[in-house]
Amino acid sequence: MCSKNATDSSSSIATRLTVLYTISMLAILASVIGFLLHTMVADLEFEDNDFLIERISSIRSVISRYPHNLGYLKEHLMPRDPSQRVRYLVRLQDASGRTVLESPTMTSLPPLLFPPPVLSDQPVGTAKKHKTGDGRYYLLNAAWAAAGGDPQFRLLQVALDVTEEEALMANYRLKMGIALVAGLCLAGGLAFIISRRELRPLRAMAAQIAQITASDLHQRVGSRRWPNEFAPLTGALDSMLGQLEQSFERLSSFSANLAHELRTPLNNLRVESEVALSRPRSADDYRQTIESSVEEYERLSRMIGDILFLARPEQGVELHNLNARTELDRLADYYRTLADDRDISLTVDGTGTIAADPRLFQRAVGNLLANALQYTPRGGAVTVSIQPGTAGEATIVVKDNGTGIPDDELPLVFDRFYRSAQARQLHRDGSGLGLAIVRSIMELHGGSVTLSSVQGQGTAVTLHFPPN
Amino acid sequence: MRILIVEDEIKAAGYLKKGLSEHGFSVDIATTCEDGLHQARTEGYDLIILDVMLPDRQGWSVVQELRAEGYDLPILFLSARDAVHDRVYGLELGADDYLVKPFAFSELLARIRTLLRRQPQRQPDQLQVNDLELDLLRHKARRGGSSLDLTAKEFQLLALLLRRSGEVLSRTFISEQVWGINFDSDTNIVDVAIRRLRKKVDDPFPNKLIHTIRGVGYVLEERH
Repeated sequence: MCSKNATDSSSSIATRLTVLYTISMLAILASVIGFLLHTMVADLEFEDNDFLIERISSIRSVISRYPHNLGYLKEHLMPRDPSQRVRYLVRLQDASGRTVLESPTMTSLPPLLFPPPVLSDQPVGTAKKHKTGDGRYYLLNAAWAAAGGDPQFRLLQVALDVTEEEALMANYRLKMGIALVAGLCLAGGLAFIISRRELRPLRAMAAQIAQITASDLHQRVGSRRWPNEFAPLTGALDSMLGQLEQSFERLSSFSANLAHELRTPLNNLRVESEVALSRPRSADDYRQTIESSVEEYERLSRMIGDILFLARPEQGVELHNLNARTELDRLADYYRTLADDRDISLTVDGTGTIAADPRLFQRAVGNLLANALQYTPRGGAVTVSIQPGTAGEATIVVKDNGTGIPDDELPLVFDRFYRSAQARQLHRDGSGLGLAIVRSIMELHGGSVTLSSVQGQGTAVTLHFPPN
Repeated sequence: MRILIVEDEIKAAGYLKKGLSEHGFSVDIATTCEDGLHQARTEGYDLIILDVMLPDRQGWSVVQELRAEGYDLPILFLSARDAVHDRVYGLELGADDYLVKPFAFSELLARIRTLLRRQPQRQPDQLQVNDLELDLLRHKARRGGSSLDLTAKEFQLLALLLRRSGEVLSRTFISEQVWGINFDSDTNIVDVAIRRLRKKVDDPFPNKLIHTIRGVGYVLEERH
């Protein structure tokens, strides 16, 4: 599944990162290049504009000083060598629109192209850009020049040839465009390489996880060093592996225990009978063999009964409203025989009604009482109490002040066949199914069972019955 | 007392017949429902032991037909099926008891005797075996002329043993009768209870009355 997703480019992180990097790079490069070009153009135009304004004011001052000296003006304005191409052109007209003076190439720029002239006492505005038919670029401006008290003595039109600058700018634009594309390609390539490289730990992790099989669930992903970002992932994976390992262990120990519990009595029966039959014996010998067999049969049938009880997915539960106190007193009477024998006090406390199957209720509480008595030393105390809840639910607590259960065994005590070392010692014939059956019974009632224990101080098991 | 066993497994039928015959019953065997029905109609049995899974059809139908025809003799089912609904179904059809395999023979015997005794009998007020006497009305027990100091449960246990004197009673049966415990607990409570009872009833006397049948249970009887 992992490898399939990795090759699916539409959801590949590397591809998405590359695309996103490239888009960001495009945005960055485009704005930087755009800004640079814009400033360059603006600076150039500002300079050219300034130049024209400067020319206008200089011509205005010549005209106001020498209103009728055209020769001087001409000399001042026109190039001496007519073949030399001048960058700026001038046209002078009188108030009636007759051209007084004109640069030779000015003919290609008719007067109407020019922006409206400003008055002689006003500052000169921004020039207007114009492209002629032969592909040349000009900046055009116009203004009135005053002389001898006449504010509209001459109309002054100036033009600046900016063709070369335009070509330069076009060249710049092209180069910048090439730089942009090249930068993008480079950024995309690098982004792809970097993201693949940085995602390598992910593939490594997938490979490592793929190697973990049911037989080596003890492996942990977090045992290697991973990038910090992986910490939550490795943590989650490792805790999942831990739980899997635990369940697996439980399952395999269940099978091993099942085999043991069924085979041991069967083997006893078989071998003991075979030995008995291997040669003639006294009637007493045969009797002993048969008596021992009957004990094994009993053990075997109880075991099979318990296993079948646990294995049956659905059981009929006949709920009755039980007087819990009566039921518990009855059970306590029974178990008191054992308790008295061991100087353990057994008391019942509280009253209440419980909706339960009488047989199953008896079995659940009976198992708990048998356990409590088993693990409580002489002189100890076992109490069973009924605690009715407010919403119709009820709990039965079986509490002892016996040996308690070590913390590491607490999660296992409800497992089928689980028997602690202590249990094996104290209760050799036990099956390890008692608490599993209690839990199964409580689940049949839609309730639950909880257990708390402090080693050396005792154990309390609580049966929670839901409201009827 | 005549008993009919309808059971297709020859081995099971064989040991049941042997066991019951040795306890004074006259036993016949049928291996199919058809044979069983035929024998039940023609012979006058006091009780039928019926297996649920038989080769020709289910044992349920035998009960149905016999009850429909008006036979009211006790019928006891034997079955490896212990689901609650199977039990309930069998009893609803008109069977009188239902015993799940594997069962203890003593258990079967006890149930057969209970079923055969079903007709109301006057319970005696006094029980006696050898020099042990129980006054059920006054809750008094005496042995060899001296009074025994028993707790209420000890008295009930002794009364059960005395009432069923000569019958081997299984631990399960004793738990059920004396304490009303309906599940098969794997504790040795009955053994402890019997031990304590013996201390009072048997230990001070040379002639022991309560006997252990290893692997089966307990019996109270006079042995010489």
